[in-house]
Amino acid sequence: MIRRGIGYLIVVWLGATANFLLPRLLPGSPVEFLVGEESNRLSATQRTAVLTQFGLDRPLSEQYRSYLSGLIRLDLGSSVAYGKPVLKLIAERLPWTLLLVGSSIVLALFLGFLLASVFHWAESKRTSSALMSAVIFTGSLPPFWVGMVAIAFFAVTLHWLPSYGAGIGGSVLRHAILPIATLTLGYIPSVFLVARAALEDALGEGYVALARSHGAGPARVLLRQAGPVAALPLLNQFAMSFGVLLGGTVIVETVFAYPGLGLLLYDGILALDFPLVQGVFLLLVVTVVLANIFAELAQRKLDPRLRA
Amino acid sequence: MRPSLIAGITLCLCLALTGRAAPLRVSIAYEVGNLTPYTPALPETLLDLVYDKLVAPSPYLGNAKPWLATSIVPEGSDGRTWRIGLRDGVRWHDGKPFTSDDVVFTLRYYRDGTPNRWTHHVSETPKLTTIEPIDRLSLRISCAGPCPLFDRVTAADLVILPKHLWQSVKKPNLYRGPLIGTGPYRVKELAPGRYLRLQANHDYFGGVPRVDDIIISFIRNPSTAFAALSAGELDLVAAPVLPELTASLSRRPGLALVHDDNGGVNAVEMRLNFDRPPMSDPAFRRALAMAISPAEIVQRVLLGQGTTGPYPAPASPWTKPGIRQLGDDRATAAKLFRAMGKLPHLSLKVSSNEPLHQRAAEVVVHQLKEAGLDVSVENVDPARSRALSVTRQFDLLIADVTPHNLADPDQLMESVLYGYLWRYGVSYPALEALVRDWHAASTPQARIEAGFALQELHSKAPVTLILYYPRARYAYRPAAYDHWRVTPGMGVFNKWSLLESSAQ
Repeated sequence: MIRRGIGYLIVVWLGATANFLLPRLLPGSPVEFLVGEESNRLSATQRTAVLTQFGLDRPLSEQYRSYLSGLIRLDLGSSVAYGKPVLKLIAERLPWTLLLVGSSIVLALFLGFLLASVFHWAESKRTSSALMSAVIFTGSLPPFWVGMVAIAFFAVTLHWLPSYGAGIGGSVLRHAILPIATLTLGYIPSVFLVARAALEDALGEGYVALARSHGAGPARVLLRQAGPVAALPLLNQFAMSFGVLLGGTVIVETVFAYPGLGLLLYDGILALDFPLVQGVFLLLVVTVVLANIFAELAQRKLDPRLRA
Repeated sequence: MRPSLIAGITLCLCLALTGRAAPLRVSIAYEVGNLTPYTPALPETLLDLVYDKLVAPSPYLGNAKPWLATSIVPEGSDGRTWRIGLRDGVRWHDGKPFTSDDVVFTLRYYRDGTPNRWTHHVSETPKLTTIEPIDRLSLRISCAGPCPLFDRVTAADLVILPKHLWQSVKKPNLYRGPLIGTGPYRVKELAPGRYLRLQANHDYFGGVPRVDDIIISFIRNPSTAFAALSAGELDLVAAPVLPELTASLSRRPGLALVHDDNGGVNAVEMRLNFDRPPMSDPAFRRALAMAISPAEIVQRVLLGQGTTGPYPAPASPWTKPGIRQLGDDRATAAKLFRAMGKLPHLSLKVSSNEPLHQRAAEVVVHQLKEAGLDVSVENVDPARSRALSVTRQFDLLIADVTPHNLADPDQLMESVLYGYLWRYGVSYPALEALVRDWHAASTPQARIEAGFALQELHSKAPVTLILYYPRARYAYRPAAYDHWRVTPGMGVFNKWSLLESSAQ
């Protein structure tokens, strides 16, 4: 367990280092964003005056040391684009993204698993093929297109739901419905494919045949015998995709003007906002590591073979 | 009767009597993280809602009138010294009186402190050497060289900050103090990533704003913004209507369009990197200009909703009348290219988040191909596009060009000196003589004429080609507010749309 913990710490350190270096490999400097085209005419002293505010005038090695020591103190520096502490910015935006991502993961896991069960339950090959085609088709739709169609239909035509934002003074849930639905639609196919394969494996096991021979019906077999076993790969799927989904909300948040982390990251990249970009990416790294630890612990709990 | 019912009826009556209506809902295409002159990429129109300048509305049309100032008059005949008189009775939003100390502080802070987008107009062109108060409501400034357009250009460029809040600020980009100006609106709430709420300043010296409460939402995707307007969730989209949406939005019940009849001072340009061959050759730049047909771009990209024109903006009084941009002569361009022998393949950089620019790029490549020049489009992300533009790592590049570059006579000199139109130090004797003339010009007319000469020289071997001037249209909901008017270079969502006409 200790070795495993050290491994995770090394992963976080490598991730933090990559987050520090990669944004700095992009062409340009934050000065161009802060001062615009006029940055061409700045003297070296003036450029330094701009960068000093963010500690970006120091040599790279010094910036790196400061970054690592800041991590220990939970000080991620100040954002170039927003002029605020990065940690505060993340704290302002994270809840919105967690609402979207958390809800869509739960919904997609439930619906994906349900559809995979229907796939195996269906007697007719035509039904399973139709289901498979429909799910693959849904997964291939670009999220920005799904989002815009949802806005055109549910907001502009039917006036049922708001088209953008997170609401002003309430109605937070109503504003979240379309973004959550768009994210969920995009996530269902991957859950479905994993659940379908896992169920197929589980349904071929001897203990399932034994249960069937004792008179267990299809529902009982799925829910009590094959379901829990098939849930294990889904846990891995969840751990692998949580970070991807967290970072991948950029498009959905842009389409719905939703004030989440994805949009913040997008703005940070456009502004060459090194402190902000490295802060958000670090959060993604830590989230993926934590999700993996959670999945590992849950698997140990659920699968007696791993405890042995 | 139940107490809650009585309270409800009372509230309704109060609202009806005071005339308070629902907030005006406006969307802008960028996020406002803060609202100071040091907030990056913040348009000055939004800044102008909270702060004021000495003269207004802008430096672009030569029509700036005293605003915070009551007079700006030259002293002496060398065009270097100005005496500025200020309005009496103006107060900052926190109630403190506005005085000459605030103006002196602001000009010194811009000149000596951390640079921002505007500071070069007091630290460089022109360079202010003396900034001193005379009394509570007047001050004197002097420039290192003649600054004959200070009253109409420089004074119209810079918003004034409150000394009592900013004097101890050492890191202006990190300022998180109160957002206090003298302008027509106070900042009521800034919800991160969501909206900015402004409340009318009822003590405003320019008159009480027509709208009491404005909620400004941040919607980057124009399709979402126009969908929200169509769905009745917004009253104005402050970004221009996309050409392909104009017809459908104009037919939609409850919506109307307002457009700019005065001719624009915003454009889309193609820059030619004069640091790289063959663009460093004036003959090549002339031939390339001849190969371009902007009228075709206006038709194909803007669906006819724009005009063609030269650099700088023809609508600006600072632009030489009758100046033309070479173009529409592909046959001659082809001959000239052939005479130059084998020309290298060129790359045309365009930002990946600008669909209109990308369409324009495809038309340009087609036109250049017909003239015999091999060019390909390279899409780059917006951050890289900005970096390549500033560091001049491109052959050809399509970008927006702002009123600041198209219609500001002082900026013309900055452009010539620091890389936009030329870079001082790269040999160009004819240009160097004109730059000296420009700096020596001590009367407004002499300075304007010197600017005309620079523009004329540029037009002969241009390093920027204007592809089009969009005829911007703005969509709004007249039932919510019907006094929108376009101010050139400032769009529709600006303080002049929200004040009584007499204020301007």
